[in-house]
Amino acid sequence: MTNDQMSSPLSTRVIAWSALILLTIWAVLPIVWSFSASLKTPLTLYSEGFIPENPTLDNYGRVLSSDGFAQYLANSLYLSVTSTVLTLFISVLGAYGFARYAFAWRHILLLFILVPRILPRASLIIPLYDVIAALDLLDTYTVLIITYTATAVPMATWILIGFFQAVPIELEEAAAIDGASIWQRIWKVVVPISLPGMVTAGILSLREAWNEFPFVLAFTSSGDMRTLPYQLYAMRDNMGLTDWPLINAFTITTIIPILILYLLFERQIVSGLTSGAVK
Amino acid sequence: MASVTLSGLKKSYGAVEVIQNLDLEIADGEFVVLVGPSGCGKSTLLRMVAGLERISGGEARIDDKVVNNVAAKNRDIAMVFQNYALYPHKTVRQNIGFSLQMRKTPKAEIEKRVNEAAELLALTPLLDRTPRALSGGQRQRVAMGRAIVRDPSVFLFDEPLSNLDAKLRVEMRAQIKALHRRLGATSIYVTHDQVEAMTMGDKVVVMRDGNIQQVGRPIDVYDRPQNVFVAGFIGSPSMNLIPAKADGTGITISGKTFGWNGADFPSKLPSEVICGIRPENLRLGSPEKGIEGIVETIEPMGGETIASVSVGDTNLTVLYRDRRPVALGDKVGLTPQTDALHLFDAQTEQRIS
Repeated sequence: MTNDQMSSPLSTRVIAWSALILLTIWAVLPIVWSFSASLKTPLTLYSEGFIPENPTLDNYGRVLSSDGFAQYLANSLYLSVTSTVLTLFISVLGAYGFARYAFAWRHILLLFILVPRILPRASLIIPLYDVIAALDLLDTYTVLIITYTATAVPMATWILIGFFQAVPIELEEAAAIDGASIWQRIWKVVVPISLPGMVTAGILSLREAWNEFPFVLAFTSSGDMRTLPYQLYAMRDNMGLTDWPLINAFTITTIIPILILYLLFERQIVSGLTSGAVK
Repeated sequence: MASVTLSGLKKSYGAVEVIQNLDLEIADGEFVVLVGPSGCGKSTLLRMVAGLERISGGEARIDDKVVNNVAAKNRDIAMVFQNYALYPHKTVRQNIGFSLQMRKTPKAEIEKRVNEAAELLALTPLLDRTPRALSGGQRQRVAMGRAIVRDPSVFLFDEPLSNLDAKLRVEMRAQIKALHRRLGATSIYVTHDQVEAMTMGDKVVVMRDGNIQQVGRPIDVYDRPQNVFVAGFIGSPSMNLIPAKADGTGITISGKTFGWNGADFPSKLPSEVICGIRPENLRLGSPEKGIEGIVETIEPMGGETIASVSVGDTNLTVLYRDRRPVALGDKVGLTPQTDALHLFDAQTEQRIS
């Protein structure tokens, strides 16, 4: 085979590369801009160019030592991790049922569980508030864990169904004969084989909970219930004059954990997002 | 070890009956092969014994215990699947040990038994690999290891060799037989390959459309097929089945009459019969001597040659072991060995004894 046949024509490659470069800029530029701003002071924010002349880490120091930051970080971590674990647990059971059993209204039910995600979150807040107030759960971790989990479960279930269906039924039959109960078949055979799907669903749930803002705003009121996104919002209000470099330092600080997770699991996420559908 | 008794067994999916009122007795330690064309219900039957398929009617017993409503995990059986069904995320060691782990066997005991099974199947150097790093034959052996490690009372095999290449299949066939001799466990083996059925089973069960056609020792089924279906199914190349007329003097095939020549012929004969002749019981000769035909294909296998001869609008298969100067298009005469004929009633397709 000649070189010509192996690679696509130059024009195609130019278009492909241009598109990729544009996409990369579109995705990365805001983060880079934010990072750049976080290294400046309010005075030099607009006067200096993209690359700060006297970069400073002062803003990060202020973020980390600011009042309540450790509490907000701990809240965010606790809520995200707990709701993600719960989400995965519930979604595994739900997805297994959808993947393995044929039952009446299966398709309708499958569409129905997406409803919470189709509705705008803002439209859910008032009715949810009523329910939560009636249950006396306002301003608790419980309410945030429940609402975060409830909104993440449909997405995670949908992701996992495809993976579970791709697990050959014979593996479960073999496990059944080997003495595994249905519970053991799910957790020892189906789930480990669907690891890329679990990682994908897990990271997406975690990210949603980590960035969630309307619910925490609506359902909590005391300062020690705040999460990082809430604090970011509060910072803008409290200072009168908005300290953009500080806010950007805060933003960068909050996205670092998620970024690290993404990088750690990048391979599984990519295979999870691409293979689940067609396998 | 255990016996397996199926009585009046039925399986239906809605209105479709795939197993109809089936009775089968499998003795302790016996190696039974279920054979039949695809869709005959043999795999369904195996899965019913395994507990993977619900029993719609009748009774399945392992030893004296009715197992109709016993879960697969509590039947003390092991199964080797056609696609092996190895756990891809576990190493060979974990795959083999999984059933022991599920039964809460102490770690040291698991280790010991996995090592023994691995030793027996020459898997010791592969114990820490995952299935994806194994060849087809090795995977097959791991599947066997997973089955034997627990020392179950019944082994079930669902076409375990059909994904292997021809050479490996012959090797594994011998290995499974040797294993059975060594362990002496009751085994039920499903295959559509009649060579496997002939070579492996103590007993062959020929199935068709959810019914048992014949049960017997392989050689008996081969020598005395009970009906036209079994006659055509068992044996490779297949038996020639030709409409014929028979009476006290002899048998007339394609207008040519052959005397019984002292062969035991049935005393009561319907006028219309189907005559079965194994390819090795047909002699090739000069055209004037036998059933006249034209050689259409010749397949020299080395040790033997298989020729297909067209006679009227049918083809007869001949198998011979000597070298003969036969060429395509030659006019030949075929003479049946009259003492090796199988006669079936043309109406009922049952053997005439």
